[in-house]
Amino acid sequence: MSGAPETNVAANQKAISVAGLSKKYRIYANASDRIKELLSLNRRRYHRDFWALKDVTFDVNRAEAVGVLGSNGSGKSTLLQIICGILRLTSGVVIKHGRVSALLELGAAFNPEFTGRSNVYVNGALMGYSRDEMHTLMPAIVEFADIGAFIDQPMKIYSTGMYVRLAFACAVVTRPDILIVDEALSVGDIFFQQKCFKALRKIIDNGTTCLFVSHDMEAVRFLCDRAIILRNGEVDFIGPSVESINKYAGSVNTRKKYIGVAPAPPPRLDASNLGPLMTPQDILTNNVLDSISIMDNGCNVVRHGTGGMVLLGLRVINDSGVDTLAVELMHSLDFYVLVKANEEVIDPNVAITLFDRLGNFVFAGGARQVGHRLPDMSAGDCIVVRLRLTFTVKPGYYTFGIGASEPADTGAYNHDRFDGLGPIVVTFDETMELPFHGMTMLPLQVSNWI
Amino acid sequence: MIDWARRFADKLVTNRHMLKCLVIRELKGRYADSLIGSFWALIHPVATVATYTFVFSYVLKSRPGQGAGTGSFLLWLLSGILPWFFFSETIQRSLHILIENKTLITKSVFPSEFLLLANLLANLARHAIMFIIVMSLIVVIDKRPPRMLLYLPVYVVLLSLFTIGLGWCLSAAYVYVRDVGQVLNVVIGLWFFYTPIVYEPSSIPVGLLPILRINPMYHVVEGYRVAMLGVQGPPEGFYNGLLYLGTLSVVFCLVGGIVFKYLKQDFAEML
Repeated sequence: MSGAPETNVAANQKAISVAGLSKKYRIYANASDRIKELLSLNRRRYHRDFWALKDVTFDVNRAEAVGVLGSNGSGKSTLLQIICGILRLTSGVVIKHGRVSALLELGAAFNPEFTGRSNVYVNGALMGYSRDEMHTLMPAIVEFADIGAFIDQPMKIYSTGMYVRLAFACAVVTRPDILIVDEALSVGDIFFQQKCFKALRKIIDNGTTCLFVSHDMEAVRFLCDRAIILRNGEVDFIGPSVESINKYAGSVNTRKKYIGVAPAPPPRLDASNLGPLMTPQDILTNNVLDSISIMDNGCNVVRHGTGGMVLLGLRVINDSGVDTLAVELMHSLDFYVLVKANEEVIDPNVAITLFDRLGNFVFAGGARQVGHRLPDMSAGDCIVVRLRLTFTVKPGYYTFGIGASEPADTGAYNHDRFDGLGPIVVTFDETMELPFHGMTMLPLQVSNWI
Repeated sequence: MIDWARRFADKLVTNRHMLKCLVIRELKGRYADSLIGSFWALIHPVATVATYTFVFSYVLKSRPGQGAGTGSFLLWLLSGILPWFFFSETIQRSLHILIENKTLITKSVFPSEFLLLANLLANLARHAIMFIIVMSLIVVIDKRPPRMLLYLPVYVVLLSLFTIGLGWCLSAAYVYVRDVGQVLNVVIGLWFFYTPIVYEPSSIPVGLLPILRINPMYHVVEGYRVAMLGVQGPPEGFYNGLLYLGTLSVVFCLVGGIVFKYLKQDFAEML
């Protein structure tokens, strides 16, 4: 993000002011009605009016992130298009301070015939950056987008994911004063989503104002300070995002859906059951270390460490013995890790980390954390460690990492570590009652009297 | 008005790189997916010229008149049809260019007038190539340098102004009313014969001449011929025609710009 020009917005200023905004669409039954009306010089009406937005008023402060919630057709996209200046408003005022960058549905501001690189320049010019400025930002954009040699290919051959990557890279690296995002993050794999959420948080903290439309409540909660609920073109509620989300979710789920109330089975925590003996050969033939997360250009896996121990292989099987990264809620996966020591290692630890879709650090733990001491190793020794992790976390996508370390003065001395592996999919049978709500299950006991 | 022009110039400067990209795409993209690529850009005019030469020169035995500056019907036809190709290609293409770039307009704040400008510039580049070919033919066959070639840039500029103005008007109208496309097809067909390209203006009744001279393309074609062929001096009414063409072009360009500016406000809604 280096080299981005300083934001030219004074502090404690409203970044976006919307007052009394209304938008009327004229709906014609067919195309010829429009001409008839034109020819009659507006003496006769052939259309009916449709008010997409009615008297919408709100302010967004500088460096604030505001979410826009609402069901389909509630006017969210129209609102954003008007704020961007793409659509004309019927009445009201919109005042913006600073450079606006918009990510409306998949960064469609790109021209499919141009190469990715020239599209970035064009995009920058549209935002008011000179060629020289874009030139300095280019390496950072290319790095963030991480689409390899595709950057010099025409964008018509890009996949949807690559499209979004480049669009997002442009928006984030150029650090606009105002960033408008419309459902752009739902595409892209979990690794890129994590990266995006992190980058968004960062530019918001650095002073970018963000208007964020999403049906993804979790993302809104994660990013936004406040949220607006739109209903049939009118502002229904503006408030802190948590309050808005609760209100919105409550209003959406008004119909009581009948759900089979069969409770989900409790977690199986029978760690005593060692299962079949896993030989190093078994692990290596079913090794997933090199194959998972390679789906998108293979640049996501981060491996680091000093190499005193190396992770040779990883096999992941579910509780039925199938090699998979999909797991049902409250069930467990067994992570068999094959570790080789290249030097003498005292009291080694093998651990796993888990991150959710937004990049939240959910969990980390290993042998030492559960009080299991692994044998000391000398150079050339191999060990197979099984980590059985039960997924008492909210259904969805997760990434994970595994590592081998030794105790150090502070924390752990890192020998070998893989990050950004996955994705692990935690599934859930929709017909059943969720055993908990929220991010994870905490021990809870319920009793009653009478 | 001056302020408006200055703002347009500013926009032109900030977006010059984008304009360059758009022009290159227009030049390359047009025939990108066809087998022999940009040769198609030549085949169409060559075929048209061959047809007219065959019909008018061999079948109907027409010859250029005394003051035409050349004895060859082919050269005479080529010099007249050259600006027409530029004009009709640019206008016909400008209708579709907004629709093709729909996503740019509906999803970003895009200066859509640049799409038409890029189209004009791309066609101007093609026009330059065709001009070089035609001019070389004239020099080689007639062995006589054109004496009034300095007039040509004036006509190119005026024709460009006229074309962009009309292009802005029509493309913006097309977004609202798709019938414009059908109307234009008919009008372009008629306009070709309304302009003295395959016949000499002197061959029609004198009484009808004023009607012909309303047509700005009349003066463009006349100007191109005067500039490119070995004409001794400007024909009668040449300067008046130039003045008329100049005024009309500037007016068209301004009106086109204003109409486009007004209509483009609702492009995103209409596309």
